[in-house]
Amino acid sequence: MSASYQHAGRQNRLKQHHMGILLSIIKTSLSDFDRNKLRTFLTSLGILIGVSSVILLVSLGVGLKNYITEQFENLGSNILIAMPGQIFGGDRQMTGGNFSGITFTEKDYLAIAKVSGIKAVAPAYVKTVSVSFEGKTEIGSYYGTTAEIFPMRNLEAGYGQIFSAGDVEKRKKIIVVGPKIAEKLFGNMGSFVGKTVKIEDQGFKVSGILKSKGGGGFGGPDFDSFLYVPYKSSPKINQEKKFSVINFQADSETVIDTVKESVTALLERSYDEEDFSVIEQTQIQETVTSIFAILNGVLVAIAAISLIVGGIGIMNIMYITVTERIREIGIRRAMGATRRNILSQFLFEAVFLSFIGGSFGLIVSLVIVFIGSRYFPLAIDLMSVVVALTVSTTIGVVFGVLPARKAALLSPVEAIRYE
Amino acid sequence: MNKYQSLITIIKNSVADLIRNKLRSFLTMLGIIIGISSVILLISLGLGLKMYIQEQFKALGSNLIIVMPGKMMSGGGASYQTAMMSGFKFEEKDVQALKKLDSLNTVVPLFSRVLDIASDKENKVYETIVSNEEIFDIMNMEIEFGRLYNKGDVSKRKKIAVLGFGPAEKLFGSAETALEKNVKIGNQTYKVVGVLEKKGGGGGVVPSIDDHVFIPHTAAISFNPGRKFMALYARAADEQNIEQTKNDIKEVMLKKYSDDDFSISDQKELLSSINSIFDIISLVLTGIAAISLIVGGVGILNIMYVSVAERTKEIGIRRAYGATRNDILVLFLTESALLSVLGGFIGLIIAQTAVLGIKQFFPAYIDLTSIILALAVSWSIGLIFGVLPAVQASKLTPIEAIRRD
Repeated sequence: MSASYQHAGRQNRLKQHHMGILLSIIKTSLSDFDRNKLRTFLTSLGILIGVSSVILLVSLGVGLKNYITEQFENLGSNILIAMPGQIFGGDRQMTGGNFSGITFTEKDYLAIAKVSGIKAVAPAYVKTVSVSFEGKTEIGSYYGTTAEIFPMRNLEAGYGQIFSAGDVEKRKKIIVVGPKIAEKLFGNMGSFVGKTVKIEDQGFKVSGILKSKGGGGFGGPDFDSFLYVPYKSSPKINQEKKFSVINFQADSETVIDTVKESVTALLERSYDEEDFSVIEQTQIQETVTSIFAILNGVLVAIAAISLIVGGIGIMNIMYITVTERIREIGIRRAMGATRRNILSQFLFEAVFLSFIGGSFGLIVSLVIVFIGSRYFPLAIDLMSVVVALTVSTTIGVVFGVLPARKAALLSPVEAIRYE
Repeated sequence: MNKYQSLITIIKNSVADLIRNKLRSFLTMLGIIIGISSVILLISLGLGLKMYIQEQFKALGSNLIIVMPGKMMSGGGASYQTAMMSGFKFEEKDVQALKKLDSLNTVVPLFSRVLDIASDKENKVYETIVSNEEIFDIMNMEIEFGRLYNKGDVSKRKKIAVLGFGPAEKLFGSAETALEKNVKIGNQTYKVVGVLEKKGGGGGVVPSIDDHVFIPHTAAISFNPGRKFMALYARAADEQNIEQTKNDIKEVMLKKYSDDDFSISDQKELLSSINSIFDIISLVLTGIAAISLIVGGVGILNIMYVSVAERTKEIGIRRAYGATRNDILVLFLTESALLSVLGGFIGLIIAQTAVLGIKQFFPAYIDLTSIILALAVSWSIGLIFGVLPAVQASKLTPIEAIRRD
């Protein structure tokens, strides 16, 4: 009992002793930094620049990923797309060059609509066209489709109204205009509902202008720049009522796989297996996200080079510090400091320099992200904070160890004699 | 002492000081070395890729005009896909109509698909080009072994294939042995009658112009049932008159199609949009790599301050012996510029060595501009980051400086 008591007491004293050493190390380092303010500042500046550029690029990556995810989620859930060609080639990569050039038919669309587990189907004929209004001509994407596209893709009319299934059946020559192309075409938007625009010499009455979904680009379809026309209303533009893609929505997440299989089987009756693919929207999203992640990784890696250069700066300054303080080291050793003590003193100083740089770098990036996020998709997550602090500490250790070792290996007698 | 001699003395002094502090000089330079070599390496990768693509285009000749389905939005790119998705294709009749134009030498229809191609031992994926016998001429492809397919083969619907050098080598072990062997393309069997000359370029991750397989369009019904074409390649008779020729083509096409259904582009347009994309990517990467140069510069700044502090006494003595403030300024500036330029030079050598290695797998190229850029940038970094410490040194009064401990 008393033995263990004694043991605990010794441990306690030992702990206090360690604490004392740690405190004195911190104190010496701080006074050394104070003596060489400019030097300390410049050494940390290297790490600051490195850490903040890495963090900013990482936060651009995180921001972009969030943005893309949001964009896709905004475009409706449980959506699948049948399209020509193998979008995901053998290596599950976007191959682009593999368009088989097949088109789907009205029959395919009606057959898919009958598959159980499917809530809505919107086939689309997509074509780049010139659209003109009162002498002004713009290039836009013609999107011949059904009324179901609007609820499926969460598209709402900002002005006027979207067309209905009835309008499609009645072959009404009307058009719903995406806000982006509307702005280019009309300048401002509201009063143009009811006017007529021309596509390939055909007049279409503007039934509505959509509310903006924002975004587009980044691999997702840009629903803001489409010209929506009932697919039955434009015999001249799409004579054979063919479709470039068929969008459809599963009842729920649980039936997606079954629905995908049934539609694939259905289309395989008419087309070669290699000539079309049925993909989930989330698959496209994942592919796009991973492409951006790779790009971002490359950028971050290149930016990280500056961290190495900053680390070399720390090493350089630490060597100078050791040389300048050789006498001090000798005296400390003579007074009973161990090699270990000296090593940890200088190592601590290097880590401290780097850590300060890292922390300020973090603050700088937080400020930039805070201001910049209004204009760019930027986001800092906890991960970046942890990484910034860990990386800067590690750099201090890695680049501080050699100079610290040099200090520790000095023999006390020689060190005191050093002039 | 004339100016020339004094410069020599200054440089000698700086070198002596740099040698005295070998480790310090080395570490300071190392920052610049890393910075310069990464910047130069990225520039040379971008440049290599750009030149590779340019070569691929130039190999096709500057009088080539390409007619593609769909309207090109500014810059092209994505719209090519929407055009494909609209299912719009050209027909043999369009080729015949264009052939009547005097301003065109050749018109070649083309359909291409990435397909599984199998020999008896290997199975690989290559872009298969379905066309007529004139495709070889328009793409400047020459035969290496065997023969090209000819007009007779096309009209007889012969199931034969001409392999690019790459597929021939990869599928059959060596290009020569590919002759007279069978390949399976899709589910059809074709006999290899020829292997094309190796054009080089590409390699690694970049697809090479050698990696194509050619078959007569009449023998490719199985994967091109509609006998339609996704592009028409035409060669203008007069290189100086490309614009007029494009207009001629447009007139012919407009007789059958609406203006939105096709687009006509020439090499110059395609090249300039590709170039501008590469320039942007290269600029961003280089810009990020240049951050490390700034950090390296801060390192120089730091070390020069240390150096000035250490040599305060020496500065005082020099001033006492008659050196002007300007002399002291030049002394320290020379030292920082020397450090930095030396670092830049070594960085350049490292980048050059790396490029030599990378070249085996990926196009990379260092041009004279990069070399000048590397030296000029490292020189300016030395001056910019050296100026503050040098000014501090020059402002010391001789008496104070000598007294300082």
